[in-house]
Amino acid sequence: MELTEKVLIDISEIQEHEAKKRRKRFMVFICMIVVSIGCMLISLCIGRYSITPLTAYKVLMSKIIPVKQSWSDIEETIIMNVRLPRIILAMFIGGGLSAAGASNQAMFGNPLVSPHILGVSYGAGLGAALGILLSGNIAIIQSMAIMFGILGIMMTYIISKRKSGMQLFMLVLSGTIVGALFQALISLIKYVADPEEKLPTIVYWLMGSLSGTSANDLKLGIPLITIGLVMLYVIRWKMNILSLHEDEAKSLGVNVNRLRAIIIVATTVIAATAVSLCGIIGWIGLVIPHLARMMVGNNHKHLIPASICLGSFYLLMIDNIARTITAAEIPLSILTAIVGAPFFIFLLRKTGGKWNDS
Amino acid sequence: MILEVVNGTYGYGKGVNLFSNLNFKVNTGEILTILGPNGVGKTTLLKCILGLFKWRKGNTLINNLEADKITPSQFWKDISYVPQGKNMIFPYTVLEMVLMGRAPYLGAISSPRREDVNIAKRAIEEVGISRLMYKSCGAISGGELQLVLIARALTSDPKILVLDEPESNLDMKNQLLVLQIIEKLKKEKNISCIINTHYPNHALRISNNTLMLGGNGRHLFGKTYEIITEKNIKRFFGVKTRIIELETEREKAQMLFPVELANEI
Repeated sequence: MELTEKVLIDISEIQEHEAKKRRKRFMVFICMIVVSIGCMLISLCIGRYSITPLTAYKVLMSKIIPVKQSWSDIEETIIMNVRLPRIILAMFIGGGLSAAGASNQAMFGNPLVSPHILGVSYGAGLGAALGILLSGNIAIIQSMAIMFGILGIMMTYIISKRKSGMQLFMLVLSGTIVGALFQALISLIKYVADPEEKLPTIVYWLMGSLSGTSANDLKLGIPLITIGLVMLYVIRWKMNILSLHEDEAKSLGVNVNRLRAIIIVATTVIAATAVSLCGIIGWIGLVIPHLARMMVGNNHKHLIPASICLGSFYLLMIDNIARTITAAEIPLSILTAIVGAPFFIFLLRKTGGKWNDS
Repeated sequence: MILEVVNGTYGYGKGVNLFSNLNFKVNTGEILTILGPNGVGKTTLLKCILGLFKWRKGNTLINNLEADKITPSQFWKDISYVPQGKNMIFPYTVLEMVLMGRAPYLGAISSPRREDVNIAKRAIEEVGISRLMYKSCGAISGGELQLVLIARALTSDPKILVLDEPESNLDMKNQLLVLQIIEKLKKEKNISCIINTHYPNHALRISNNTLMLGGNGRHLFGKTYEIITEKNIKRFFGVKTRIIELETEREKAQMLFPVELANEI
């Protein structure tokens, strides 16, 4: 009798716990979405030319429903052609890089890898640097970045390929080697570039910046990043299994090689697109997934959406800082690291690197 | 469901054969234990049986059908693998972990539905760890983790369970717990089991048949009580033992008692 009661209490406790957890997760997501949208509105207003939130809201609404114009044309131009594209791109790239990072961490079963691990980003960086050196035309720079990003991942893949299929250890090693090679080539290009004109452009590009984002960039970037994100999103639950030991994952009836291929293609698309549009932005893909893990847990079913939300919020904030804190723009990777590094140190200290033993 | 290995031969890379021409059979509801000293390739053998490693020669037959002719999702619905519980890089909760066992039933891009969650919960109940449902797998004991992995294997409603040293690193009580669950699954669900173990006494307790592996491809297969003899243990393990019979409340049992190292191996 006593025993049954105890069991019943246990079960009701468990159910309560489950409901509480679900409510908490729901609240986290609601908060993330509300905060992101709020941030977006605020971001429209801040900058060298300040605009009131009400005006920003009205301008936005006027695109959907007719509103009597009570603002200047300059304000409308700044909002619609300068700030809004930049904000949207920041959010897509931030979300994309974070989701790519979380996926790569799942695939390698290693919480310390980032979307740059497979040599895509430095390949794309090399392409961009070459594009600047050879022409300076933005379309050429972007297409070369994407081409070289794909070249990077292909080299990584060919070097690591063995008869027995994909081996993660080889993949990481090859990616690191290809990355190092491309970094050396980037240095070579910097060395030969005209120091008056080309060199600063290359250096500034590689440090990452969203300044000068145009509606055209959105046409290239948003579809590509969306494709990558959708691919990752639909297989997000399977990433849980992929993060286990390889044989264990296979024994759960999962096609490990196909899943890995999907993740590699998706993260390549995202990383190459991001670099082609705004240079190499470090840290986001590494740090944001950990922050998301703390908020919603390890289950990738929730982790991927949380990473997307947090990542887009984070890069938007970073970009806001970059364009407002001084008269000149501060490159993004400087800020992501200055904000990201202390946080990562804190994480390492707190967990003692414990998540790293396998 | 009948699992049979015919002429199973395997070695790493270009190296010598770890084992050659293994022949054995597991009938429905039978338990096979695989015994052998450290480093003899017990885990490797399990992976060969499961097709995770490719046999050099020979094959695994499921109901007389070659295992590599069966689609992976069908294969892993019928056969579940329980690996050794290791530290996890991303510690999922017990329920999340067990739910992964439903993967063979899910399409390429689908997530588990409510009914999958219910099946996972039932499996958790079945191994008696409902109280751990929402705990992190990183925060439970080794024995509990082993039960989690067994529960995960059960969610796919398997006909055959393959367990890799399920009672290693566990204390006496947890060892018994694992053994009793295996016995229960055999009795109530007619699930066959293939179990790697370091403990001849456990083999004597639960298994119908035993495959004993030694170095240089030596092996023996047959009824457990015919294989686990003082002579064979000395030959394969280099240990002098005595087998004693004793009667418990439960059954008449055989126990193996290690005496000392044998001089010549």
